[in-house]
Formats: sequence, structure tokens, C-alpha cells
Amino acid sequence: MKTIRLFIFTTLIVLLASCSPAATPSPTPGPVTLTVMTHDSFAVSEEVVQEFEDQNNAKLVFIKSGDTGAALNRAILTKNAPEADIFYGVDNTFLSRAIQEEIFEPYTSSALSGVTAEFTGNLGGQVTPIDFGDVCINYDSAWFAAQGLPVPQSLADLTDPQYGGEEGRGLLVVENPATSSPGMAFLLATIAEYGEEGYLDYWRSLKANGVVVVNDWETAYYTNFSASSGQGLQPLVVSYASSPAAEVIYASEPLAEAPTASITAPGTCFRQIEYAGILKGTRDLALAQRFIDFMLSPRFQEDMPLQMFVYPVNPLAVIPEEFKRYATVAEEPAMLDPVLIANRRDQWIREWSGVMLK
Amino acid sequence: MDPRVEWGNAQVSRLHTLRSLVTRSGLLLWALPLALLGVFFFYPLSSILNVMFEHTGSIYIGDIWQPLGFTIYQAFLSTALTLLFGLPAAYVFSRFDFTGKRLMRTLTMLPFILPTVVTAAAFNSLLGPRGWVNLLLMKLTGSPTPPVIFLNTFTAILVAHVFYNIAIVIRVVGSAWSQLDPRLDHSARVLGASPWRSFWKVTFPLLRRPIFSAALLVFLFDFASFGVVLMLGGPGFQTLEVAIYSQALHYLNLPMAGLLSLLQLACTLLVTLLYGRVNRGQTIPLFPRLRGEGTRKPRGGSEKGLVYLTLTFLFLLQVLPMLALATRSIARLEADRGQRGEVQAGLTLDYYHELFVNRNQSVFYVPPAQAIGNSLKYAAVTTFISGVAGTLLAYAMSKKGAARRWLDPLVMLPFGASAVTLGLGFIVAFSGSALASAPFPWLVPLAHSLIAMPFVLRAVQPAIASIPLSLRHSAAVLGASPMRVWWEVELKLIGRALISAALFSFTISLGEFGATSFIARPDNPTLPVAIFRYLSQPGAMNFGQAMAMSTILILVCVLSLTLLEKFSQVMAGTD
Amino acid sequence: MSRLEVIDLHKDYEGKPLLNGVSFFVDSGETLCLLGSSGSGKSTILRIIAGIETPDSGQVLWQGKDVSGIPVYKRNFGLMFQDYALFPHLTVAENVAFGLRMQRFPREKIAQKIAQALERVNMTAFAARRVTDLSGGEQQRIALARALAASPQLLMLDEPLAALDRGLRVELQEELRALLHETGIPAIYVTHDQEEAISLGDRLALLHEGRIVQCGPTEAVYRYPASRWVAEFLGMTGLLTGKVITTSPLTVSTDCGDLHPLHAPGVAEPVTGSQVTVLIKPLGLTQSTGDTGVDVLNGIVEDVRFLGDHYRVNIRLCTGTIFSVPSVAAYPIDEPIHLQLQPGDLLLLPD
Repeated sequence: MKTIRLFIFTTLIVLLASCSPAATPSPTPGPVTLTVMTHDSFAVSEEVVQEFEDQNNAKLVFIKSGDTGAALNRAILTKNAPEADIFYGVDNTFLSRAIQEEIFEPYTSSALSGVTAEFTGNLGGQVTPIDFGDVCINYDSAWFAAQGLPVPQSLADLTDPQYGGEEGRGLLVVENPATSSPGMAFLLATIAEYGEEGYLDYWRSLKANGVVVVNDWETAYYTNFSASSGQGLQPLVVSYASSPAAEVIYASEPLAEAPTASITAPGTCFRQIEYAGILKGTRDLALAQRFIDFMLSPRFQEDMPLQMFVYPVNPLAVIPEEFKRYATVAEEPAMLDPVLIANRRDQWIREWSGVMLK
Repeated sequence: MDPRVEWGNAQVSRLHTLRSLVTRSGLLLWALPLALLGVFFFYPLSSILNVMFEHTGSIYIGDIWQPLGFTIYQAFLSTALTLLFGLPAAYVFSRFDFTGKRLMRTLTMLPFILPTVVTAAAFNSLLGPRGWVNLLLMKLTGSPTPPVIFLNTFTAILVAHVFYNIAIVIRVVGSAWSQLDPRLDHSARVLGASPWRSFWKVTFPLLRRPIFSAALLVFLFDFASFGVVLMLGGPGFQTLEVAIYSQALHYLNLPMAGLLSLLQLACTLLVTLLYGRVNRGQTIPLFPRLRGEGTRKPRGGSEKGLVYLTLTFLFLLQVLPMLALATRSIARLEADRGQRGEVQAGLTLDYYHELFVNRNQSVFYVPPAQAIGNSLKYAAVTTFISGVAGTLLAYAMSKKGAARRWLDPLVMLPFGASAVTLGLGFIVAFSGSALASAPFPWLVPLAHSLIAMPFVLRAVQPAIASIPLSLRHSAAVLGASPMRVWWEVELKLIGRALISAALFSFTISLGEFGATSFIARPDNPTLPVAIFRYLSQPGAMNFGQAMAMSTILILVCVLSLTLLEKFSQVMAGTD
Repeated sequence: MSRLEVIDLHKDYEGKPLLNGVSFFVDSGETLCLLGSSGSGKSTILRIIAGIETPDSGQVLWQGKDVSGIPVYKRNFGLMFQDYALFPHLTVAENVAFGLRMQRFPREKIAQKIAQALERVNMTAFAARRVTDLSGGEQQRIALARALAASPQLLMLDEPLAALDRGLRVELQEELRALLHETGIPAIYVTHDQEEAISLGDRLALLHEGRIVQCGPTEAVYRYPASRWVAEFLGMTGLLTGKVITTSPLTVSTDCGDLHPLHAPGVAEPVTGSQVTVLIKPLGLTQSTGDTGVDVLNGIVEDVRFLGDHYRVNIRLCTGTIFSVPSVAAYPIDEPIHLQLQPGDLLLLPD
């Protein structure tokens, strides 16, 4: 009897404990809450957050909602009863779709004038570019050095037999565009290079050259890539131009040089630009606008590289040394019209699947 | 008589008939579980399906057949394999006592809590191109390329499914098997039946229901399998759930995703209805046995051989990958420079240290203790909700009536429903509601409870049915009111089933990732969500921390499960 | 005065009538044996009295008051089930203590009561054992101890000895009898075994086709069975059909000759020409000495069995009926035998 009572008692305590408010106390009437919806990769340091909160007597609350597509989906699905004031994380492959869905409150930040021209197109007066990153092929430096092979310098090079192997045993691993965002980006790079008529033939020759396709970046990088902790078989992987920097910064022992590097030759990378926008139905428009401005300010922009491993769009932002040393910016990244992407995305993925997965 | 009195009497008697109708049909019993189902499953589901079909997107009917066919095929095959390996294991656990039995039983539950990201990493550590097995084989045979190709194959999907689900067969069938009177088998043997015939003619018919029960659960799990197919199977294999995921979140083609979800739901319904058909009829009352009874040490060569074989198999399948993962968390994982055949040696606890450090001062840093605490809290609440709802349901189902026939399939639906669709449904239905903004994220354990509830039902219901009526009657005659009959007799006798159910609910909650990733708040993530965060960035530190956190998750689970089993012994007063 | 009265119980089972107006009573200090064939509804009657089932119509009165409003757990009637229904998750002592706990007996007194109860059934050594380890006889005793420990006002036993072997059964019958007389509470004992009923019951009630066809002190029932069915049920084999020729003196013509049975007091007068059954009571064997004025029955000795302190002789009568009768002596098999029957040996039974 006693032990039963003890058990019930403990259970009740646990339940009561879980009912107590979470660590972060609910907002008091003083500071105004600003809710920001982002994708899972969003990261920012406490200091930067604190600075905005202090400057504006606000409280920032973040809702993380999965990867890019998932987060955007969530924003679209809740547009009649929005869960947040700001949405961050729509990229140029989804931009047109997001604008179509009319989820944003029009706003053009005054800070936009300072942003590099290449990022200010297609905004529709609704979104603001915040950062960019290049999806590039990373390679295992040591492996290539040991084999004495030159690093491929173009998309065409990848079909060269010296970088190939038997079916599925080649040197390059790519991600499925239907299930992976970098995978989609790489596909778009090939379309930009070879056009809608020719890209499928390119992929056919890649396939003949033994390219490995996996479903997501985690598998590609941590299982197949030879230079990561997974120590896989492929020395070439579709990843981000900033990944080598992460390898150094997150190394378990201090490294003198990066174990990996990116291929940044013209046309081999695809530039992903990320945007933020004010969601329609926001409760405090002025505060939301100030946050957008803040995101373009050097303080926020300089914080991004080491938090999210992306590049700032504000040319005045100083990029941390280690980041600059190991991460590279593509010289002439592939870019496609966001409207075209929105319209043809579906079909391109289906065509690609038809060639590569059957 | 005064007409008012007459009328009053008529009302009273009407109330009495109504009350007896209600109690007889068990209406009150279903009320809570049905409400749970209605509000947290059907409502979000219908909301999201509604929304999905309103959006733009083209529907390609031709594209549904391949994922549909493959989903059914792989689920079927996986289930068959799980039964093939699980039934002998269930037998061993139900009949024999051996050292390490309790530990092994706990360990078989662990796969449930592993998010597939971690499972993929674990299998990779073991069977990947640089896994132990391949390295060993390459050293032995001198081959330059890894001989075993495991990842991105159909075999990987099957093996992973068996890895995850063998526990269901062992628990559900095993507990029913141990409740079978061993004298039935003995009397068959005395009458001249060989062991195989005795099994086939006597034991199997009595076990048919629990076996089908377990097979159904396993089938539905495999049917809705997502992470395994996505990460271990690779792009060559597409199930309905993977298709829904990519349609909804990458193609942003919501109508197509909606169509596929409906298809998945329809299939689930069909399966559960078929099951209801096949398994109709009275449960054969089994003498209620308590834990430890009817088990003995294995005698003789063949019995011992069977036990060792089973233990070895389970160890290889389930423990080894987790060990591989644990070693990854303490091994120095620098990418080797140049030589593709060598492995760097060196042990380190750096990754564990790093877990407690918020190196880049990210505002999203969650100390492991907090993540563990979150996971445990959700698991506890889930166990409570699903335990109560599931037990009420089990009692409702034990009353005679036509209701049982459609109640069971209804309750099983959340199992086979798409986690992605449900997650989106939760967003559409509950965002902005009081529930979503309450200090405690109730939606998480409520979502988990939907999946846990059928487990509880399936574990508890046979236990209730196996209690002879005379036991309840004798308790009543001895002076126990209905509440006391339940508390003193029934609860104790179904105690083991309840604990079994609680264990399932607990582990399901701990390991749930799909729906949780949609509903959890960034400031109180669960362990699986936290692990996934580490894996989405490159760098040895990130990978190492993910492995370290996974090992912590495993240890936390082993500890919790062991404690739960200890409580169960105390409550049941046996063993 | 503690009296249980069952009045005109009716109950249908699966659409067919099971109990068709059952009425009887039991007084304190006596054991009523309820006899009937399997499936006749005996257990149902016990369950109705206990409150586990409700009758379609009829009443159960305890000390003159209707108990239908009182729920099972408040009636304080003891019921011992056929399968004992011991709680498998409790030890022997805990099982016995169950009723006392439900009555919220003070904890210190419970231990004492358990000891007493176990002592009474000679099971004191088993107190800490698991009930599932016990043999049939041991379980039966625990079940009895459990029922008695709760001090019920009425005890009902549902074929408690059915599952036991003969030796054990006889031994326990003795014990039960002594126990029941010692405690003095009214008891209803259900069985389909008439030997058991004779040894245990102060009164017998016979259940047939949903009615109590005879109820009375054991000896009286045996002496004057009310009908052919009762006689057969009680194991009497000497039954001959015949027709009434004259009513005074009562003469019945059977295939084995004319017989002059008595007719039981309180039974309706036989009508000339009506079909009746004559019962030859198995009170012993007397060889015919050739006297006139007495009935003689002729037959052939079919079988003789030695049963320790007497013989059992089976005689095939002229009708082919086997008449089984105890005898102090044996008789040669396949030899004709002539039985002398005193008037008291024959009884007229309505058909």
C-alpha cells in the first residue's frame, strides 16, 4: 500500500511540475512581444538579441518550423491567423511562391539602399534580403592531393571518367531535389548551365559516370563524404561554400588548414539568397519594421556568419577572419529567375526523378 | 395517485433505463478517448485536408501508384520478417529464465526511442562503408573497396524495420504466451503430438489474436515509416509518407500531398477493418498468470541453444548498432588525411564536454539536462493521458455490442496517418488557440498520446478479457464495492499489461520526432529534436555532440525503463 | 430468526426459461442441499441470492425483508465458487483476509481472524504460500476459510467438491458437515451428486425443469420421493411402470405381476386405471420364503460387487430393469432369485 501511494505521489509531483510555467516567463505588460518565425537553421547570439530587446523595449520570441519548405508552408497555412510578426527564411527558390500567396505586409527598408544590387531584385516590395550562401561542391583536399587528381573546375568536368566509377560508386554524391534543399539548388545550377533542353542529358552522363544520389544533406555529408566524421567513400559532395569553415571552427582539435574546400568555378555553384518579411496581420507594424531594419544592420549581419554560416548582404558588415579564410564566395554563381523557378519547379523535379531514379 | 408523482416516477424510471443503457453500452467509457480522438486527430486532419485542396498545385494521378504499391509491399515484407524473427524470441522470453533477461528485454525497447537520424548513424557506424564490419572484412580479405553495401538498399529498410519493431512482437505476443497454461501444451504432447504439431494445433490457435494484433501494429508502423525509408533506403525507394513529405515541403504541392494523405488514411482504415473481420469472436479465457510464473531455466541442448541463438541475434541486431554509436561518441573523429583505409585512433570525452558549453552564445542553446527534462516530462504526461484513455477504451471494448467493430479501427487510424499531414494539421487547427500558447506545450504529449493509445488498448484489453468472471464476483460477494473490485483485483491482474503499455507509451513519446518537430517550441525541444539540430551542420564537433547526445538519450531511456519495470514489480507484488 | 426465503423466481436464459417459479427456504442452523442435473439452474439460483444476477421476477427475502435493493457487496452472503476463484495475486493469508478488509475490520484483529480461519480448515502452515501452488483440496479449504472468515450470515457453496477425487471428497464432506454444524449459519449446498447431498444436507431441495419438485428433510425425501424423476435422481433403480387396478387395497398391475404398494401421505389418491410407477425401495434383500400375502418379485442375479462392508447385488427384473440393492450376503450370478417385498418396501409414485 505504501509503495503504491509513493508511486502515485511521485507521478503527481512530476505532472504538477510539468504544469508549471516554462523557464521563460510569459511576457509582462511592459515589453512588447515580437514573434519571429524561422526555419530550423536559424541561429543568433544572445547578445544581439539582447541588444534589440533593450533598444526597443521588446521581447523576441522565435518559432522554428522545420526546413525552408516546411517553414514557408506553415506561414502559408496560417496566413489567415498568423502565428508570428516576422517570417525569416524564404529563399530565392521559393520567393515567387511566397509572394504569390500574399502572406507579407509590404515594406521597403531604408537600409536596403546599402545592400549590394544583386540581392535587391524581385522583392515585390514585400521582402528584404538578409543573407546569402552558395551551394557548391565540397571536395576532400587530402584525397585529391594523395590521388594526384586535379580538382574538377566545371560542371562538365564532373562527367569526366576520371571522376567517375561504376554505377553508384562514383566520386560525387548529390542530394535528391525532391527531398533536399541543397539538392534542389544544385539541380537549378545544372539547369542554369545547360538550359531546360539540355540538363537531362547532363544528368544522364552524370549517372553513367556513377553519381551517388541520397535523400538528404545529413546522409550525403555525414555518411558518404570522405572528409567528414562519417569517412565515407565520396570525396565530392554537394554542400555549402561555408562548410569548410564549419569543419575548422567545429573541429575537435585545432586544425591548421581546412580538410575540405569548395569548387567555386563559374557556373558550378548556385546562389541561395534568404529573405525576411513582415507577415500580414502583425500586431505592431512599427516594431516589426524596426526588426527588419535591425536585421540589415551591421550588428546583426556580422553575427550571422559564425551562427548560420551564411554571408551578409550588407557590404559594410565585417566578416570574421576564420570564416573568410576557409569559406569562399562563388565567382559567378548560377542564378535563375525566381518566377521561372516557382512555375517550373514541380516539373523539373519530376523530369529529373524520371531520369535518375528509375 | 397524484399525476405529478406518477410523472416523477416515470421520469425516474426513464432515467434508470437510460443510465443502465449507458452503463451497459459503456458510453461513458468511450467518451474521453473519443473526445481525444475527435479533437486532436479528426479535427486537425480535416482542417488540413480542407486547406490542402484549396491551394494551387497539379495532381498527377499516375504518380500515386508506385509509392502506394511499394509502401504496401515493403510493409508486408517487413512485417513478415519481424514475425519470423520475433516469434521465437517471444517464445524464449515467455518460457525461460536466463541471466540478463531483464536487461535484454529493456534493450529491445530502445530502438523505439531512437530518431531515425540516429539510427541511420548507428547502422552506418556498423555497416556503412567505413563501419566496423566493412573495415574488418577489408582487413581480412585485403579488398580495397568495402564489400558490404548496406545503406541505400532495400535490405537496409527491412533490417531497420525489424530493428525497430521486433520489440512489439516480443512484448505483445510474449506476454500472451506467458499467460497460456503450459499444461495445454503438455497434454497435447502426452496425447502424442510432436512439439511442432502441438504448437500448430494447440498453442498457435490460442495465440492467433495476439499475433495478429502485433502484426497489425508492426504493419501500420512500417506502412507509415518515414525516416527509415528516407535515410536508410535512399532516393530509390519512395513510400507514401516520403512522397507526402516531399510534395508538401519541397514541391509545395499541397493538393497532391492531400491526395496522398487521404490514400494513406484509406489504406489504414482498410487494414484495420480487415483485421477486425479476421479476429472476430470471443477471446478464449486464459488463466491469469503473473510475471515469473511458468518460466524456468532452459534444460537440455536444444532449449539452451535456442536461448543463446535468440540472445545472440537480438544482440547483433539491436545492441551492436547502439554500441557502435556509443563508441562513435567517444572516438576522435577527425577526417583522415589521405589514406582511405585507415581509421584514426584515440578516445575523447570532448563531445560530452561540449554539450554543456554554449560556445557561440546562441540564443537557442539548450543544455542537455533541459532537453532531457523536456523529453521526460512529455513522456510522463503522454503515459498518463494515453494510459487513462487507453484503459477506458479497453473496458469499453470488453462490453458486448456492435460498437466494438468500428471503435477499434477508428482508434488505430492515428497510427497509419501521415505524421507530416498531422503536424501540419496541428498547425492549422491550433495555432493561435489557447492550447498553443499555454505555458506547457500540451499539444506535444497530446499528439504522442494519439499514437500511444492503440498500444495501451491492445495490451490491456486481452488482460481484461482473461480475468475469469468468478474472480470479480467473488470479490463482490466478499464485500468489495465495484470500485474496490477494480482496485483490488482487476488492477493487480491487469497490472502487468498496464506496465507493458506504459513502457510503450513512454518510449514512443521519447522517440517521437516527426509530429513533434512541427509542434515543439524552440525553447523546450525534446532530445531527438536537439540531436537533429547538431546533425544539420558540418563539423566534427557537431557530429560528435550529436552522437554524445544520442548516447545520453539511450542511457536515459534505459534508466527510465528499468525504473518503470521496478515499479511494476512492486505494484504487482510479484517476481 | 434468520431465514432465507426464495419466492417464485423466474429467469430466462438465452430466450428459454431456466427458472420457472423456484421457491424454498433455509433456516439458521440447517444446511439445505440443492440438487439438480447439470445446467438446471442451480448456480443461477445461488447467484441470484448473492445478488450477482437479477431474476426476471420473484423475490429473495432475508429475515422477512426483500434484499433486491441491496447491492452484492452489502448483503454479507458468503459464496464459494465451483472453481474456488482464489485471487492468484494474493497469498493464502491475504485471500482469507480479503473479506475482512472489505468490511474494514481493524487491522490487528484481522491477523487473529486469519489464524482462526486457517486453523479451522487445518491450513495454518500454508498462510504465506501462493494460492497457485496449492493442490485442489488445499485450494478448496482456503476458499472455505475465506468465505467463513468474513462471518457471512448465509453461506452458499456451489459444487465445491466436484473437482476432487473420491477419497478427498469423502474426507472433506465430513469436515464440511462438522464445520457447518459448528458455525450454525444457514447454508445452501449445491450439488448434482446425490451421495454428497445425503451426507451433508439436513434438508434437500430438488430442482427439475425450473421448479423445486420436492423439498424436505433428507430422510423424508428418500423415504417418500415425490415423483419418478426424483427417485431416479436419488439413485433408486427399482422402478416399474404399471396400471392401477383397484384403489383399496391399492393394487398395481405390472409386467412383473401385481404389486401392492403404499401410497405416500399427502399425495393425491390414485385413480383406477391410471398409469403409475412403483418404487421398490433398496432397503435390503430378503429372500422369499414362500409366504402368501406378500409380494414377490422374480429376477436373475446379474452382478454382485463387494464393497467393503456390504455387497451390492444387481438383479435383472422381468421387465429388463436392473434393480440394485445392498445385501449382507452374496448370491450366485446368473441364478434366479425371488425377492420378498413387505408392504413398506413398495411406494406408489405419480408418473
